[in-house]
Amino acid sequence: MFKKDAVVKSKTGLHARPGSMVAEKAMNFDSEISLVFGDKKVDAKEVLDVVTSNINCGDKVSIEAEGPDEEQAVLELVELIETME
Amino acid sequence: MKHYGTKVSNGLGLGKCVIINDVVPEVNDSKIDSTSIDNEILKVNNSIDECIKSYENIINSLIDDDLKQLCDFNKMVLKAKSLKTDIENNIRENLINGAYAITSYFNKKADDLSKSDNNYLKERSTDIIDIKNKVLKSFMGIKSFDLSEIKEDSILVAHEITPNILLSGDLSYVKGIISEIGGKTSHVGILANTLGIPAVFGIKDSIKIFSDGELLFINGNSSYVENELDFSEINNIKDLIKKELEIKKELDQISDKAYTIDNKYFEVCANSGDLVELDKIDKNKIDGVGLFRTEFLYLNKQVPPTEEYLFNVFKNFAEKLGDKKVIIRTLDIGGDKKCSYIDIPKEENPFLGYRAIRYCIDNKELFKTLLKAILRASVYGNISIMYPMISSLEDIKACNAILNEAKSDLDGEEKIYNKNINVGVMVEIPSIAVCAEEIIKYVDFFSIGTNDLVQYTLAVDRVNPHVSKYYNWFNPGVIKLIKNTIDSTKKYENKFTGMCGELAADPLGIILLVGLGLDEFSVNINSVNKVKKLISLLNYEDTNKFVNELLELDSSLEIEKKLDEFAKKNFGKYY
Repeated sequence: MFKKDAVVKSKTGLHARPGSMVAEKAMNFDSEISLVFGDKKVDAKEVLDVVTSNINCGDKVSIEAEGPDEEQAVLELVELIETME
Repeated sequence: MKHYGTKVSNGLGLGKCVIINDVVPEVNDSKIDSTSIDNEILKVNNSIDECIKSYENIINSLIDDDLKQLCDFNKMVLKAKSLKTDIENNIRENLINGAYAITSYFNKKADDLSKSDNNYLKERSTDIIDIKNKVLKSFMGIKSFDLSEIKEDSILVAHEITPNILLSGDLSYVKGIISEIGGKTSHVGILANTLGIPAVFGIKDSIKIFSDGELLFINGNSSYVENELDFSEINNIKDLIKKELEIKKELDQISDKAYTIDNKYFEVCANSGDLVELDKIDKNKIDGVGLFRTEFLYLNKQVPPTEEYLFNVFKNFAEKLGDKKVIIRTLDIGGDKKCSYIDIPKEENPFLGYRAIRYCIDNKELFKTLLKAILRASVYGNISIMYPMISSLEDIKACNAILNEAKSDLDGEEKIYNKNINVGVMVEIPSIAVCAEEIIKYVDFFSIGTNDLVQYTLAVDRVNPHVSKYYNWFNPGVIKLIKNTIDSTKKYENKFTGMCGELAADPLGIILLVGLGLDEFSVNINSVNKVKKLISLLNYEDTNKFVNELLELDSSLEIEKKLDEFAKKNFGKYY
């Protein structure tokens, strides 16, 4: 398993568009990918789970992946989350 | 004939009535035969794929960002792995029909969303139902309404206009939206606003009153729809729409500062209260932000926001505004705004109760966290602090004591901040307006909040329909309080009075306030250019003289009548 933290930069948190972008990116990978936030863990490929986890601007989330492309998946998602405005 | 409804989105539109009879497919729970399981699953999957494709087709032709975003979101909901697997399992295990399985999946998701304490997510649950209906129609072979079939100026009329209707094609022929249900904050209401499509909702039996193909005039500014138009009426309406477009175009181009004809400058700022609004702000078009509401940072959360989070939001925003001022109002919670971790018991009289600064003074840590975040952000721009609901000098002293603690905490943590940050108060409780001359000695500025000032001065709750007629901001008592406040800051070179209430954007209010010499108008971002334009049409000397005469009058009706005459004379087509 590969794991890394990211701080959400998007002003609207991971709602709507940023949430859709995270799910869309996650779907490009074969690994199982989760976002861990507080005591919640959600599947990054499920857009509704991502947006309802109520992750806001400035929050820290962990991205965990398990599978053939786990490292690449985590790094790309961290970059996306940290650069989305 | 005119039919009145609720105001949703401004603008005028003329077009043929298109009644949308989008029936929601009926679903029953009949079982299927075990031999047709695979076929049923295949059919469901095909209809999901068909809907994904339809969103993908439309997405590239969309110009508006909000619609694109919605389209993307809908597509991702359909692409979620759980959709197909949950439905497949449900069909296999329970032998239920495909339509029922689709319905169960989406209803559960919509239900989860509607339970959220986040209003934004709550509204999304109707989007999920909308997606469900799209998939169901595709599954059952029912044709959906398709905008791309519309080839002439049209007004859409439906029991409920859903986002999917707006996502079905080119919107350039859509001149208006009439929906029996929904409101300004519904998803379609918000979309209509950002797309600039006039919308009036809530006209009872719209789909029966209006007939398919008849010409309709929608007036979003005055929230009515007119049908049975004759030839001369149609020509008048066409002129009206043309004029309105010209004015709008002209107003859109304004980016200069607001000077009266005789060259007196008035500051025009924007109010802002959520991230969507903050995003829209173009610093070149405003003189600053006269009211930055902080409530949105607190509402819809399980725990209070951290100092770091608040600091980041304020810092980003201060940097965006550069040297333009940003007045951050400290938390105005309570009254009608509540959140889960703030424990304000149910009150008989919430507007006279435990709210805003009264709560913050008692909950020092929460308040101090906010003040520290504002102070730290103050080195990145031109930030001032403003306290709401101040009723006495003691309130100001109590707030400042906590502000001083916040400053010494930051000194201890060796964090930098603007040591001379300006501190002002809202003038919304009459006692402060009456004693403005004494209070101003202790603060740097005043900002008059008209909604509460009028409510507290006239003892009237304006949302109560039985008494709303008593709510009148041209009551001589209210005007005297405003004048007293404005006059109090005139003796000081560096102090000012602003107004962040609705009166500052009202044409008659603008005459009154220019005449009284208000320093700063802070209004909704969409009203900034209109306010600037109206100020530029006034002559300060004349307006001042006119307003001084008004001050002699003792009847609100007479004052309003005189203001109306003055507005007609000076504002012309802009009134």
